[in-house]
Amino acid sequence: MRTPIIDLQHVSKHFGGRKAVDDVSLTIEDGELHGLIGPNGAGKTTILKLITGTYELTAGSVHFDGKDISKEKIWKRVRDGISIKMQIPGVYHDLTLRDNMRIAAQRYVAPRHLNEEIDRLIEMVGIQNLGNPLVKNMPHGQQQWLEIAMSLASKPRLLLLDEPAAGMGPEETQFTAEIVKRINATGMTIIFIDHDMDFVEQIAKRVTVLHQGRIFAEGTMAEIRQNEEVAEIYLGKA
Amino acid sequence: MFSYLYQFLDSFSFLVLAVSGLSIIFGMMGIINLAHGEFIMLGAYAMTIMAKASVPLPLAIILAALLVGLFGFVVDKLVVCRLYDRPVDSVVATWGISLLLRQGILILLGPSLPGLTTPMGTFMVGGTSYSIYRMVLALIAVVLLVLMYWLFMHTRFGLHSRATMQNSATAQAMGVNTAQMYSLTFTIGSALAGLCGALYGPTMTITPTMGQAFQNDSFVTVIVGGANPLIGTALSGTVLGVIQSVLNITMGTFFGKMGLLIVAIIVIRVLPKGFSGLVESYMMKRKNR
Amino acid sequence: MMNKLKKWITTENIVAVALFGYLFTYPMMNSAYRTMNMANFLASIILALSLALVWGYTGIFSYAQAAFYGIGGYTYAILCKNFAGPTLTPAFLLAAMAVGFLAAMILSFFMFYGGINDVFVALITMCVTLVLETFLQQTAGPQWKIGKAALGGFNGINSITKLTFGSTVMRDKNLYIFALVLLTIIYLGFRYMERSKLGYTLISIRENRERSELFGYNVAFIQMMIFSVAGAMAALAGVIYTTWGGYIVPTAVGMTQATIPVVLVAAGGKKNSTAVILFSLFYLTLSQRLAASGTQYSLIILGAILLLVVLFVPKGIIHSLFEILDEKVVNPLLNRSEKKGGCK
Repeated sequence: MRTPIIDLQHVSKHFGGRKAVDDVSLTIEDGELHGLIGPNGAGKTTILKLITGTYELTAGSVHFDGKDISKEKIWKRVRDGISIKMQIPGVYHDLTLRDNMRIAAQRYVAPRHLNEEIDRLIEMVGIQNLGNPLVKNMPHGQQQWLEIAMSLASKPRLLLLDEPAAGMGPEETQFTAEIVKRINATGMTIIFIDHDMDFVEQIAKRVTVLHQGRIFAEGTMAEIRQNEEVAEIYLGKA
Repeated sequence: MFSYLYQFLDSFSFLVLAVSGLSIIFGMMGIINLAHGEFIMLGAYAMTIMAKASVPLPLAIILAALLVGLFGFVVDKLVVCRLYDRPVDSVVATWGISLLLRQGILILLGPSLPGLTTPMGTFMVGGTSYSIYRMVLALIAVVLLVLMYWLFMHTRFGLHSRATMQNSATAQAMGVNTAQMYSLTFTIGSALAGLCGALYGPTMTITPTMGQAFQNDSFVTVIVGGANPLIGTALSGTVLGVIQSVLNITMGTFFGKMGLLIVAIIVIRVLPKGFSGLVESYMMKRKNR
Repeated sequence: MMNKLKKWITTENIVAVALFGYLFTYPMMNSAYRTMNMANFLASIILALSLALVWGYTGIFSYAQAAFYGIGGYTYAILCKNFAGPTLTPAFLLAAMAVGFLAAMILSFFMFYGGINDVFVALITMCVTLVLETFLQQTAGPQWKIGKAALGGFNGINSITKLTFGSTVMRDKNLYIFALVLLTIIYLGFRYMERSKLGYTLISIRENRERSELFGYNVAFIQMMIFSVAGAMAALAGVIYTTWGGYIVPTAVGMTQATIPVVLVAAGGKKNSTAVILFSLFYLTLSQRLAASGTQYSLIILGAILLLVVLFVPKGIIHSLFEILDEKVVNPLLNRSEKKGGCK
């Protein structure tokens, strides 16, 4: 039996008057590849930020691997095994690719193995042919792959990907899908957000649809694809 | 009893007049102008020079304010406009400007100018005499607050300003020329500083470092007040006026100064958005009940 | 072997060698008076480096380094006045540094664990410096004393026992060598740190605090510790200065004093310790010559440098020069392409 790795219970996040996330309960099993989809403003990124601790809960609780982490600081959650690739690339623009990797990895591996580990992570993601440019000179897509490699450095058990294929053309999207599947195959749980439905369908086993801060629907991608109401919320009818 | 009231009004008007320029700039652009004290000083100098040249006092005061406003416009065009998105660097740069102004005036005009005497004389309450002029200043402070309220709430300029303060990206998308807004704001803020210096000029010794007396208090009031030049200035002017006058009377002016600074430290920590932020979140909560 | 050696040939390193060569041979080439004078400059350089540590390397703009400098000086002075005997002075030095460390820790705990950063740190530290200066200025009355040490208001504390190790009094050449050795240790510490795990941690915090916390760094704690170390460093500088002059006054804590490290660091290059030292030597010497010739222009020059650097050379004049020279001269000469990592 699979144990839930992340368990959100009646989680809410209010900003002043706005309910970004409203009474969401969601359980993700260990090893899942789970998609979070929904129209803009549905609360998807907010949920990820509640898991990482970037936002504080207005109500509810977050359990990670059985432990209540609702009040834990961000850095503690990361060291416990949660990692994220952010929507706007969270990379250090004025540093080189390898320096970025170094910052992400140096806490988690002995100094004498650091270079090895950086190489390993770069290869895992498949960006070993990029050399060592300054990150600000790298195209957007490559920055995103770099950030995925960086997010793996802390050896997480749960990886959150916020729009990993954003702004990518079909080939790059395919490359990203391969990366995600490869990582998931090692047993890592992945929750991701994306707007590209083909991409989502390619990789997600299960999907949760959010709308206006609440869970609108859940199921396999096939089920969701056939759900007319889901189509309507995307078209702004609901 | 009246002496407390007088002290309070004196502190209150001093703070409001000194602060309004700084708080508009801070509220709009997030920039703390460390040369603010020196702009005030320039206002005092300009007024004194003109008054000594037989320009009638009220006219000298207004002209001085306008001149400093113009100077502020130039400073913005040369320096500040390059630093809109670099607040820490703008702190450093305006500090540099303040050094230049202080030392420059010292070199150009010497360690002090022969000043004016406080106009309007005194009145008596309970055996102590008080300055009428300083009470007039309190009146002007109130009028200024009312004017600012009208400007921000009932004019198109005010609407654009508030929009830019809240969210400059959106305001820009709506057609507000934010760069122009910033420039104008800095100019107006400078003019207000000049006005403060010109108004207080007759009551003080005219020296290059006189701006420093206004500096600390202004910038404490702005921090405590927060980004809203109206609510922030009024509220913090009042609260700090009370605190400072009590401390001045009970423990002396050094402790008055220190008290304000300590309040600033605590407020930054506890209420980084100052009173403005407090009021804003209170109003948001009420709206959403 | 040659290749390994080649790695070390950069403009910065060449300058560093020349610089320390100059500093170590200074006493032999100059009078006792000028050497003693230099000792004071070295104290200011250590103060500047403490600011570079928090601002240039970690991204925390602190206006409070002068406050810790003053705290160091005053603590040393107060201890000297209360406990006679020059033999204890080294302990007083350590105590002053400890007090500086602690004071910085309290302030930084208050700020960083309260989520305060950026401009607000600049403002709070500015207020702290002002409060301290104002407080010290009004301590003229006889009731203001700690033990036997009267704080002395504007006049401060005078006739302070000079730092003495055993029977060697730290004056003239001795003080200079002492300060220089400390500076060298600190400098080497900086250079080593830049390539170390700590150095990269600091860069990550400087470049993007939130992101760094999401990589597992306990940002608030690190900020607090670095700020505290910088406080101890500033306090050390304060003690050297106090021993140099035999006195400590409130102006040592004031805003003008606080501005000098800002100029030195901003104009030299806040992310580069060598640039800071070089520029500081240059600037301090120049401004002393200007002051000696009776000019009031030194503050004008200070203000102008500050302004021009912030606007046009934000990386710092000397640091930018290092990079330009590396790119245009050194690397071509060595057939090497630029691939530098690290704090720069």
